[in-house]
Amino acid sequence: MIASTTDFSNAHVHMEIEELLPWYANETLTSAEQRAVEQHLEQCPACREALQECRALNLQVHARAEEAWQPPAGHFDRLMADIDRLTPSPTPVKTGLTLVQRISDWLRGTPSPVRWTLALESLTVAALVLVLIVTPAPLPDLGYETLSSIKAPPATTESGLQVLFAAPMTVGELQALLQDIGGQIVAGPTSLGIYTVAVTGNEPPVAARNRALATLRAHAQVRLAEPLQPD
Amino acid sequence: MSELETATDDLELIRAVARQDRQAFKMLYDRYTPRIGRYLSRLLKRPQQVDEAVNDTMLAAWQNAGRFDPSQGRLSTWLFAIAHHKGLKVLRQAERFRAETSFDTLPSVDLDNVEEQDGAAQVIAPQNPERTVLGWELGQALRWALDRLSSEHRAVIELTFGEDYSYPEIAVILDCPLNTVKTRVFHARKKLAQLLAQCGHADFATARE
Repeated sequence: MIASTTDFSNAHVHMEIEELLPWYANETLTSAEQRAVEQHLEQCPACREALQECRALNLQVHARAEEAWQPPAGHFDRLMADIDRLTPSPTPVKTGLTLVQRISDWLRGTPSPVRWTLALESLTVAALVLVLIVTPAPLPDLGYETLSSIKAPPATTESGLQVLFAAPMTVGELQALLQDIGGQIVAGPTSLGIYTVAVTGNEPPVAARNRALATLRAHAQVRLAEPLQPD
Repeated sequence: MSELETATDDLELIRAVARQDRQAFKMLYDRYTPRIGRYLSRLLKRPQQVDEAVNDTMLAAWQNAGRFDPSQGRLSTWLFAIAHHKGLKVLRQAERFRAETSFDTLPSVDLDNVEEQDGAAQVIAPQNPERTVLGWELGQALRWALDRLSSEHRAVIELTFGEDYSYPEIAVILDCPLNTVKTRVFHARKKLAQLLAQCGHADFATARE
């Protein structure tokens, strides 16, 4: 086809035009391109042949269009299920089970010996609770320090802060931040996720609190930090 | 419906989808998946891969509907670009798992030995002296030949001759320069002509029918 072009000075133009023929055939060229193709076609038998070939190809490939794709049964529903999976609903799904039902379901899945052991354990705990209630004597000072009694939390009225941490905050980041401000969590979280943090230190309570407040507010993982008691 | 009406309608539709309107999404699905699925079935050939790629395409359309920019082209071009990308992804995965057994995996087809390599070719596209009368025989030969093109060549042939896209639109769909589209279609046509000549349709190749 191309070999029949004898005018070598026009070889480049011929090549450019021949490359455009498929879109001349499907009628998507700009009007300027269309005119250029038509001018060339008048003098180039090879391109007229190539155009015939493109038109035949257009016709034949279009004829196959009868075999349009049909979605298989349930295709759209599966697609929507995928979408739902990727965009979770904001409210948690309720199971609709009562506490008693959940416990009995859990027990059904527990082997019999384990069930008996748990029952015995529960009885022992109940008996101990009873003993404690009946004899409310103060516990003797055993002389050792538990994790929670390392330092008594200060009074929280002046040095107290209300803090809301960001969900992605790690335990490590929380610990580092509390150490940094010399604070302890003394209450919380509330239903809104707010903790009460008490600040300890050598400074006067209000000064310590304001310093901690500045540090908390500057921290990327703190959503909210407010004094418990306004100045 | 005129082209302008379709464009306005498409824009409203995709904007509604961007607002997560599921009814609009179903309309978009019904309007475009038959064409997208047809194109992907030409590109991929295996029905399961096609269903998966159509699913991936529409999922991406749902997630990215807000990014559609009408000044960059038609909605169908945007969707075909996603479809082509997803199709290639499925194709690459299939190739990685060596699930693709056709000639697609080979860099080029040895035209002299095509029939020897694929005995079924003779059965699918037998030489028939009466073929010039009509399209059926030629249609069978064309299908056989298209299946033997590389997926790159098959994609441009389908987009140009089957879907009637302009070459700038094909450049958007394939995400490649305009000249690449032109030369790729040129070479795909030559290869197709050679393949058709192999099974007795030399007349088609030279357009003397």
